[in-house]
Amino acid sequence: MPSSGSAGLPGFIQSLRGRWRGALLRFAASFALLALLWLALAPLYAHLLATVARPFIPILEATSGSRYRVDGSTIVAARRIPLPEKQEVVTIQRTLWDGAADYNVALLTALLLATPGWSWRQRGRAVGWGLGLLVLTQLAFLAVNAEYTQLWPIPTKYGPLRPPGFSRAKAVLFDWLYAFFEFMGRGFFALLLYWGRLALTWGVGGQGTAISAVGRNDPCPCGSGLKAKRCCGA
Amino acid sequence: MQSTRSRGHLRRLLQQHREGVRFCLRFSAYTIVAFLVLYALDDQVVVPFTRRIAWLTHRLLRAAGVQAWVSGASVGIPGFAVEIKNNCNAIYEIGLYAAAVFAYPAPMRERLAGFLLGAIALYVVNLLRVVSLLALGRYWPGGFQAAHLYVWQALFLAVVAILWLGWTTRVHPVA
Repeated sequence: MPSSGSAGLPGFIQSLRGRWRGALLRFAASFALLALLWLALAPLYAHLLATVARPFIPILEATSGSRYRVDGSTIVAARRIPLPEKQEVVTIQRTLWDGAADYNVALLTALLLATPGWSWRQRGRAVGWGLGLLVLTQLAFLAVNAEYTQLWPIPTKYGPLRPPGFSRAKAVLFDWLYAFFEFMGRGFFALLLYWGRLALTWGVGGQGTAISAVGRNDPCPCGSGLKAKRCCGA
Repeated sequence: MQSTRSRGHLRRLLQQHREGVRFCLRFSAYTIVAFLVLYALDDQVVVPFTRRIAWLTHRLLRAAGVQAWVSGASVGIPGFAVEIKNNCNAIYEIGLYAAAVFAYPAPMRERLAGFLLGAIALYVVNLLRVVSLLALGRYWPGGFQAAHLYVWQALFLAVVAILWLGWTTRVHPVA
């Protein structure tokens, strides 16, 4: 099977024409399997994210004594906030990351595994790089969420109080940032990384080598209905 | 010496993947622009768009003989109702699809046609999503959350990816 990576994106696209059914089936099977696997892996993944985030607590958190704990597949920030005027300390908990309905890892891995024409080594490298970058985006979301949830009013028995360090500009900025990461976190980062990975196969061969990605017995990409070896590839 | 060599290697790599890097940069920039525009025009664009989906779902169900009702972005059938929110209105997914289509180096006419056809397809798939979720909530409430948060969301993104890949097989890339 020729490698699509050696013929650029147009080559990959052309080869997809002849193999899209298999690719679709592989994607569906891998995604279903990975989604089931995710039920077991999500708590471990949450531990991984929390472990990486913990050293940054002094930077991320405005009050000392805050800690991040993992509850199932959820990362929760437990914050102790002193109320100087009331001479007391309130403890509040905010969810920073919930892995239960996170399908980014399953989606990206399934797409990379289903992509036709790549060797297993290429797939492995793509999955490694893709997941590494995905972890970075999720850490960025966690950091934004840590700041965002600190801007929420603090519930006390005296009524909601304004959090320390609150400013209108900060609230607007983090509202937008949170919305952006929330929107991208719905699998959009996974798609962005996948299409980015596909696009990196560009330029290696370019348009002129599109035919080389199509097997001799595959349908010719020109749409004639003939085998490539009997048509343009002859 | 080492850093000069690695800089040269990086330059060669960028040169080799020039088209791909350009696509990635454009795609990322367009995605951010799509998000900024949609988020800024939430009241003017997103909310009416969402209400229109609820209204259309209601009309579809009525046409099929189902006793459906609609109120703002909420649509219901006897025994179950849903409120269509940002996650279920497909507008951000259409924005992402548009970013990918317009970032691809194809003639503008083909890009416009690809965007319009893809947006229509995504809109129709989204209507199916809402109708199926209503039916699921009515007849199998236990499966609603998983189908809503996990299955349909991921499936919808897979449809976005497939539409884009399908479109790219039909256009003529330009250098």
